[in-house]
Amino acid sequence: MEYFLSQLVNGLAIGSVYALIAVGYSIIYGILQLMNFAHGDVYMVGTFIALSLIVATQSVFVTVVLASLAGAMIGASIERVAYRPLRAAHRAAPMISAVGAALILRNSAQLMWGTKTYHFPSLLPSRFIHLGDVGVSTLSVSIFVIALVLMTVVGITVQKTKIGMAVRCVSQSIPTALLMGIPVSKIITVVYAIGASLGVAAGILFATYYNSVFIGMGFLGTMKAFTAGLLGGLGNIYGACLGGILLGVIEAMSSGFISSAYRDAISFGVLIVVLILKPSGLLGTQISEKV
Amino acid sequence: MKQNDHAPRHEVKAHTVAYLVCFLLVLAIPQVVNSAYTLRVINMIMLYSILALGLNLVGGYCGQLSLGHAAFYGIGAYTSALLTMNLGWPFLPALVVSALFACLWGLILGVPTLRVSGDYLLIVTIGFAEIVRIVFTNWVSVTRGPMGLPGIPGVSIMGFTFRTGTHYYYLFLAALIITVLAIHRLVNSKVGRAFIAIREDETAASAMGIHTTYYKVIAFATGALFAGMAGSFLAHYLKFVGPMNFTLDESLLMFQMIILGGLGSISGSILGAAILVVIPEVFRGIYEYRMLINGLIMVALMIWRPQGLLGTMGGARKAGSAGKALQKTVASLFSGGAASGQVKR
Repeated sequence: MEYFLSQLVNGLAIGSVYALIAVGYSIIYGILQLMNFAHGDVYMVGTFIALSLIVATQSVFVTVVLASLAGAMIGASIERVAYRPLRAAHRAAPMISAVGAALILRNSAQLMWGTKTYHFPSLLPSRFIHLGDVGVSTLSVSIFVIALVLMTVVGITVQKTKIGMAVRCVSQSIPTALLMGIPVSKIITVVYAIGASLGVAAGILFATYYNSVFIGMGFLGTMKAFTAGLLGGLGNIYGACLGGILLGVIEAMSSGFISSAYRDAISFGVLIVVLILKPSGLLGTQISEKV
Repeated sequence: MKQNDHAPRHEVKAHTVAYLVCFLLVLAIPQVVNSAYTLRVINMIMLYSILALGLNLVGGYCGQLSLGHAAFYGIGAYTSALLTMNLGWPFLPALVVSALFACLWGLILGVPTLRVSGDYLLIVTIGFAEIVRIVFTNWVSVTRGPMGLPGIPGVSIMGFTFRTGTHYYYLFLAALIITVLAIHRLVNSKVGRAFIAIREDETAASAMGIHTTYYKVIAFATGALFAGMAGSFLAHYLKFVGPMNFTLDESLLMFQMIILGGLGSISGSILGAAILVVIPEVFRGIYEYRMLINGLIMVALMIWRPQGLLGTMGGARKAGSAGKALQKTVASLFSGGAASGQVKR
């Protein structure tokens, strides 16, 4: 039982990081329906920048702020260069362009930092506290809380603010938003920037949890974002949040009780089963097609 | 039909002659090319062409984008390798059984999952491919895990053993020609018309009485069949298979081939395969920058020619409704000159 509970806490912590990546991915997906294969690689580069910053400045605050800004800039410039020219093309075209962007980012990071795994300094206090019989790491709890706070901020921004309203308008219909005088291209750039900086935040939390940074975490993140987003329902922020946390818990449980080698296979298996039973994801709405 | 009757005879003859000349030139390639390395690259182009043709049937003709093609490739390769190594089967039955086995997995995955479409299908196929790769990596007692299966016997048919690159060249050429003919016949049949109808508008196709799921599963399983065949060839050509041969990057590569060559184009698939197999070889000298260049080419190509080099599907979907047309116009206004390629067309 104690083992189950501590696995649950681990699952919730890593799941909240997945959720954060998936939320960043989902607001981008919601606006252009683009399978953004570069999402994970943007945050991987952001996390590497954070590593360089923390080594140089020793200041957590400066690191987080500057790395998020850098991530936002990378996200926005990729949108400008690789996706915007393709907005009118067949939908597979921006997807391939995203694959290209992912390759460029991964390769550039590899040229700059090499392929080895770096130690990432712990930015959060890590102690074990005992709640009854269960030992809980403060690291897990604080990651969970930070991720929840960030997601709440995004949720409130999208629901309550003026820019959030514009984002929702654009994701409903680009032509109508244009006719209403919304600067669509600017909004899309902003959304990419926000999505990317959320990704960097998630990347820093991920690196803090595992105490390491490596090139492969970009691709890993993209896959987790896809899976979590799909579990919850593509383009739905709450769905992404739920899907991410669920994914983390499923992974922790399957590596704890079944086999850690088949962890990813089990989470994909669960995904396929969910999609067969409910083809639009857990919180997705079935959109009837226009004829 | 009338047009065919009136076609001038000498023109038909000229075509036949042209095809014959091309065929003879292709037959002569191994006699002219005497570098084993070049021949190996050409052989890999032909293997990837078979893969791309199978994937194009699913993605280009039927409009169901799949990123799990490497799974069927891997299933074919491992099945063929295990049958010949552990059970001592000859090559031909192993080839047939591994192609059929990949096809069976195409059916198993296709029947339930083709109910979902678009991006959901894409992720389900990625998920399936990852599950297959994880099984290859972890089922150590059968697949030897990450170490792979070395020492797979080469191809030998009716007492003739294939040894040199030239032997394999003619084998793969025959396989490629059979694939091209089969896919050409298929897409120009009633089934192929149904594929294209589903690709253009699934709702309308189903309203016209086309059993969409049935045809989508046919496309999916046929694509898997050809992938399984290519996998079997690969196993006996390289004499080694490992889980690293069948990663998601491999699926993405095939996907890039059909996009680059053009969705819904047979010659496009072969061209795409040729370009994407040759590019990494050309840049082998500057190894560290190879993937960077690959990425840049991908982005640049999509920006300048999003419909692919020989695509029949068109860069932009033909607008089905006024809303889509408006969206297209607006988007082209906003993206400035980059979308003008489509306006010109």
